[in-house]
Amino acid sequence: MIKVKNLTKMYDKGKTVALNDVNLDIEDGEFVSIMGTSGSGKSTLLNMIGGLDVPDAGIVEVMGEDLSKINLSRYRRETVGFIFQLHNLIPNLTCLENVELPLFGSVKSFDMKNRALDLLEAVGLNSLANKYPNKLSGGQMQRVAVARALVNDPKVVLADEPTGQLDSENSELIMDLMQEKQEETNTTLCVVTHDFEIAKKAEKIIKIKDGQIESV
Amino acid sequence: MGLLFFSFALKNIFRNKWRSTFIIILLVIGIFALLFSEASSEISGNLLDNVINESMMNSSFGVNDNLSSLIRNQSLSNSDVNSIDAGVLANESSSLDSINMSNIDEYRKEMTKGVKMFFFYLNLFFVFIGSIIIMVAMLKAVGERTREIGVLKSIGWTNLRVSGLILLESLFQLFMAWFVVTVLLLIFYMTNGHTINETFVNTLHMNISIVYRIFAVTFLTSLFIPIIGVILPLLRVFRIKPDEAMRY
Ligand SMILES: Nc1ncnc2c1ncn2[C@@H]1O[C@H](COP(=O)(O)OP(=O)(O)O)[C@@H](O)[C@H]1O
Ligand SMILES: [Mg+2]
Repeated sequence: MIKVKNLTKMYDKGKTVALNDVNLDIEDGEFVSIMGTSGSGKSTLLNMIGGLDVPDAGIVEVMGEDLSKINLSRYRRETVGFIFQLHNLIPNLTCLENVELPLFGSVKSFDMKNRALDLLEAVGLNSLANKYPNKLSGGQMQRVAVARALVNDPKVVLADEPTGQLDSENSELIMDLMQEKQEETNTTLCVVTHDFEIAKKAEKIIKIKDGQIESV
Repeated sequence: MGLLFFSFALKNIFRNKWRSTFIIILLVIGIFALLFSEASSEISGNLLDNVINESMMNSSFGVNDNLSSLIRNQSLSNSDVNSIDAGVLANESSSLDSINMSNIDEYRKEMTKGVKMFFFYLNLFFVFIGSIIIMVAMLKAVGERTREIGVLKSIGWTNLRVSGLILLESLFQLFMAWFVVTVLLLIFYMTNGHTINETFVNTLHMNISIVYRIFAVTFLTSLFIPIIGVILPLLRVFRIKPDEAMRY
């Protein structure tokens, strides 16, 4: 379960309040979507939950563990899978190697490769395993990014506008992939989106405005 | 797992040919600068040995003391030199002569040590300058990859691992620079080998082992260039938060 208590995050030395005293509970295995206008603090909230940055005040607890008390890179490596608006693949590595990256250091290289290939197959791209990202279409790159996010069997999958750069057909494909995996493995899935069509697939819609939760 | 790490580093080098070429050229220049300062240190130490040897010979036979006065001019207050002169003036006493010999010997050692010291600092200076140039190049290269570093950190790579990758890359580049330097020197040797033998071994009485030492010292010293050169870029890796890095 994800528990957010009195979370506040400021930027520019307090001039910008990105999140203001946010409280939020997300159940295990739940699929929630986070909506709000641009600049309302959606990404900031997701980054705090994913341990990409630390809050100025308040607590984020994931599966009973306070993020301020644990090793964040290990948490990111073992517990979370992140998907960004821009696929953020490493251009110098092939798709397969990109998917292997999160396993690095925790899994033997032979298993790494098999595991990565399994996931590429799951997103339907095993034929492109040895291609470099610049040879792929936007939708394909995002599917590789989904494979990379899921390769370490995360308990929590966080997606920040994963379909923001995609046409509706590819958006649908990516969402189906993520939802399918979420149901299959009972992971918690949080998707930030502008698109109501996508948001309404979720069990719960969280609306955020000016750094505060407007409605759940 | 180590394999991917290595191939990652190599791919970053080979898939960014211009950047790598630029850094390797800088390294090659740095290594040659080190080589020259190291070689000058050895050669001048050797030359000095020969000069003083000669002057000692001449003085003790009383034929010509130009060289010993030349040494005296260089350090007027040096009591050793005064005693050498005293010895030269009173060169009929053989017991005094043997004292002079040991004085001159000491003096020569001092002088050689001084010259080598000077070149040691010159060497440090080259390491320093070389490091700064590489640091600027690396800072730029790491700066370009800020986003990538953010991605790696966001998928759980530790600062240590990301830094290791960057350090490994610059070490690979150093190996390539060594390779280039070695090839250039070999080409130079094959086309001018005879002259080198003449100059170094015959004229300067340099032992071939000294030549090897020059190369060993140069290559060892040059190891510090990329290590010092990546310190600042690595600090950046440690400081930046993944979400911030990905906004680039
Ligand atoms: N790293 C940062 N530095 C400065 N300001 C930031 C940073 N990240 C976010 N902000 C600011 O915080 C507010 C919320 O941003 P964000 O969470 O990205 O919004 P959203 O994802 O909902 O569009 C915005 O005003 C934004 O300008
Ligand atoms: Mg955003």
